[in-house]
Amino acid sequence: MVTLALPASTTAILDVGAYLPAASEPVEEVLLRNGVPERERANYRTFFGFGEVRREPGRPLEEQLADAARPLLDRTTPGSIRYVIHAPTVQFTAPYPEAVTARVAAMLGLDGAVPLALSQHACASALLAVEAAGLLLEHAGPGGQALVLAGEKTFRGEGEIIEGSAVMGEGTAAVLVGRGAGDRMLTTATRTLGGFHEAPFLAVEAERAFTVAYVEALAGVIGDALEDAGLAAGEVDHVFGHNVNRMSWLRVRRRLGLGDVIRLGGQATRGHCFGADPFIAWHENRERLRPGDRYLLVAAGLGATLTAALFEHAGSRRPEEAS
Amino acid sequence: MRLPLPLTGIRADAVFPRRQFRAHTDRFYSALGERFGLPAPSATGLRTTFAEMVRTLRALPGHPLRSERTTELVVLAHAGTDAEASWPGPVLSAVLPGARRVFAVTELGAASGFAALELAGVYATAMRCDRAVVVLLDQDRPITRPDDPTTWATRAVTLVLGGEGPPLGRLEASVTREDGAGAEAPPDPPATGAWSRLAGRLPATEDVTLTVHDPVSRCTGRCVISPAPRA
Repeated sequence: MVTLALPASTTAILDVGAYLPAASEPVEEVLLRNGVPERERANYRTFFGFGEVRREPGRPLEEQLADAARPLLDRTTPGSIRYVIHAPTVQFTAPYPEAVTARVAAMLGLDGAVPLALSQHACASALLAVEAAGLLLEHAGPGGQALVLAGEKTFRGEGEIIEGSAVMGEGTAAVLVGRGAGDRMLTTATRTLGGFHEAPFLAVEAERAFTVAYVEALAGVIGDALEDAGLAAGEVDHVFGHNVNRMSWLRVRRRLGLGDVIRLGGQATRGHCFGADPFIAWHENRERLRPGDRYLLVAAGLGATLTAALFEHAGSRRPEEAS
Repeated sequence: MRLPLPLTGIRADAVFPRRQFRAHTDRFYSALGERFGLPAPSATGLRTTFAEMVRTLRALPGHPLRSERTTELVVLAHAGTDAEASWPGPVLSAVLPGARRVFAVTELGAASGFAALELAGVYATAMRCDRAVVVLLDQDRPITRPDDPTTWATRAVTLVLGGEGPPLGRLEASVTREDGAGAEAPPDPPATGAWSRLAGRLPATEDVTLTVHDPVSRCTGRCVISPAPRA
């Protein structure tokens, strides 16, 4: 078990913003363009749960990330933001010396914030970034906040699909992280199955092995996060996860005994938006969150790193709702 | 921040194997380069990846990454793009079963390594870990401006925090947003340049201060290495 439990009542999500490009494209067109055989194309809609993906081929990533963040800055003091952290799936989003995160910070007028990128957990890097932001803020003086950014360009042909798993979209998310007030991060569990570091170019046998290991590992990190918090699966109110093969989520749900709490509603309309998925799902379901709700943000990244982070929504859980 | 673990080791390595690269990498770089107005990467020449670099480091006799059980945290730092998208973090996770977090920091140019130390410090504090390793990585860039003739050395600098061995110093590392007026040009290559000559200077009898400025992020990295108290 590889878990890191953070001290209670420290790292907290203060708010989440999301941006989705207006234009959408049927997944069949993306799959056709990427040479996926006709006999396999139907699986992505019928079994995996994909339908449309949102893309903006001509628009820079920094503009898409800034659009997700702007509503958050209207509701906080920008000068309190000490870090802007982009967490890309691919370890670079611009050729040196260009830096997407610095561009976003400049566009948002965050002149006092340190802009950096964290990577190597692929699509789970954004959860790592929330964790890291909270730890950095602990040493950055009182009242500091951090802005975590997730989402990437799909480009044409290279970042558009993960074969047998997902069709990628260009939705982005911004997460305002602070300490104390907000949705408290209760625990974080991470496992890296480093034997699959050749992904997405795994040999056929390794691909099969990963399919088997994936469900067990994903259920494992969720179980670890719950165990560290002393919660049972039935005490989770929501799971905001990554949009990949819907069938694998059903297996995880069955294995853990989770209730009907996995919120994958956006999979059919926006595809898998890299590390932004859990946060976009949070944003889409924010009206459903009640004070004291416990929810999991879950992501799996190529390489392969799987992370589950357990949060408690701000406010006291009402007695009749408490488990 | 003042790091909770002392610096107990530092080494620079510069010998890494190179190979021809796969076409998919160049298709990705073509798309990325086009977005930033850069030409497609050259189809000729040999390259390495950050994943291959850390694999090579681990195979070197006496390298700190060979301590499989005792390394709880690894933070990688690079300024430039990888020659092909690779997963040095997962490569290390596969062989370091005691590692609870392995990740990388970038987009801070020459200050990336300083951010790695700061992150190592906050994670080591939270994890109460006894040994962490920070690896700074440079290699030549696969796509560059046509008018930029410079090439970067392929090099790694490894810093060991805590664990066994006599302390070489206590570290105070920070990255702050500053205008950088009067700052020197970034070191070459950026991630390791300021650190590669440090190994021969430690332990020192007085404070050693490293300062770099990255003009793109407008961040300054500082690290003060203070003599460790005598046992």
